[in-house]
Amino acid sequence: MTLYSILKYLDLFAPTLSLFVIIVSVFSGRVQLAKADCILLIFIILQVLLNAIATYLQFVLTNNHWVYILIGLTSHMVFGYYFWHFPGFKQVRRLVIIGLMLYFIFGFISWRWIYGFNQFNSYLIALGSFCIVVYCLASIHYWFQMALTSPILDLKDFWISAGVLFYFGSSFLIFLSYHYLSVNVPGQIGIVWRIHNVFLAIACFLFNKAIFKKEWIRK
Amino acid sequence: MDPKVIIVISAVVFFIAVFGFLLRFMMMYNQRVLRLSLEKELLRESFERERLSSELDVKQQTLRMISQELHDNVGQMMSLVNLHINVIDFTDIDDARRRVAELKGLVVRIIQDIRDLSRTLDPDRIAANGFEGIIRQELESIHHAGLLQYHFNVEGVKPSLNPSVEVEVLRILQEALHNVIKHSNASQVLFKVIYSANRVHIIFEDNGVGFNLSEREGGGNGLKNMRNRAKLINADIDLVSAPGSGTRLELSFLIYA
Repeated sequence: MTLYSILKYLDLFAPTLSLFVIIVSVFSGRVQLAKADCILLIFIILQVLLNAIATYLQFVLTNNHWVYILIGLTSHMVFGYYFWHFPGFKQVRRLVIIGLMLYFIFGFISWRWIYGFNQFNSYLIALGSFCIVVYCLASIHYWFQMALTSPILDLKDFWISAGVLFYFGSSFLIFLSYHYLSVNVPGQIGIVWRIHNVFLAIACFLFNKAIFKKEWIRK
Repeated sequence: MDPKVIIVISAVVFFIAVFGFLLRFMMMYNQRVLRLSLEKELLRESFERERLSSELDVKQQTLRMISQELHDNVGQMMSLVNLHINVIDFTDIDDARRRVAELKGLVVRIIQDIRDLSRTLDPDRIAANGFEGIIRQELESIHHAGLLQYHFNVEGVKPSLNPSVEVEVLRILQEALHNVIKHSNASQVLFKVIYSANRVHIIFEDNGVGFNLSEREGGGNGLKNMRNRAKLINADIDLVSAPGSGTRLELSFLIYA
């Protein structure tokens, strides 16, 4: 198996490996899952399931773009809930409501008049990523204003924020341009998605790190 | 340029930007943590200085009390003993017997007073009886002397308290009791202790003449001493009094596990 093909399936391998490490750690008693960890676990499980479906559909040469729309939607819901709940700043909650409303309104418009359900909905997935990055930056801004004295590398929130920023922040342009590239340079789109997979693998690693940390910010 | 290359480069630039942002954020956060820790340390030092100064005040006050007691009471009686010894006429056996009998009585009183003073200062006795037990004994003896009536009430279960906290609480209450006997002209005293899950609340109230708190607040050593002792154990002390309407002392402090 070449590096190129490993990178191709990294969006399935990385979350699967991450899930495996979590399951082993939980069953060996090395880690006890907190509520924030369960949210990360849901994200990772969804990534495993939906990327497996997408890979299977690609194998049988069936359109799998709807799966990515589903990944975008579930990611937004999961991290929207996370930033709503942890550490629960009022201003961030307002942003989550506005973000989700925008997402659903734009989702309906793009489904009805722009892409339909069988095309890669670049704008919607990019909007979802953008919203999650905004929630994350706003959360960082507000928890920076708290008088915290714990070392930053011991904070669950730091590792989660790092994962979110690395994945959703770095992949934003890839999501935004993916439809355009798939139409205009369809033969070479693979390399772009492989880079996305690398970002996802980094995020999974950082989320695993977060799960192993015990301290989190309480407002 | 190939749009695919542009996107790849842009994504990598975004990635590096996120990395840079996180690195900068970590540095800022660490600087902030360092500043907060320094501020915390300064606060702790200032509190410690204040605590030591209060402790010194309290020690000086205790020594002054012992010195006063020795001078006013024991010293006076020893002078009296000396006087009696000097005037004994050993040629008159009856008179000498009478004076020796008086001397015996004086020496017994001196021994009793020194014993009382020692008992008051003995931390083992406080640990054995608890501050409320000793206050009850003192109230009882004052009641027996016919000086005043008292109501004694304890609510809740007493948790284990730090012995040094018990000593300070007792000293505050003894000072209050001393003030009641000396100045208040009260006929009744209420002593109430409420133990809750993590707090002790004490009420000490008399129906005496009261006083103008603003006039005494600066000058009285006793009140200053009570406040200093309260500060030592992180207790809140509240004194309410007005001429003609008695005095109420409330002392409240958290119990640390």
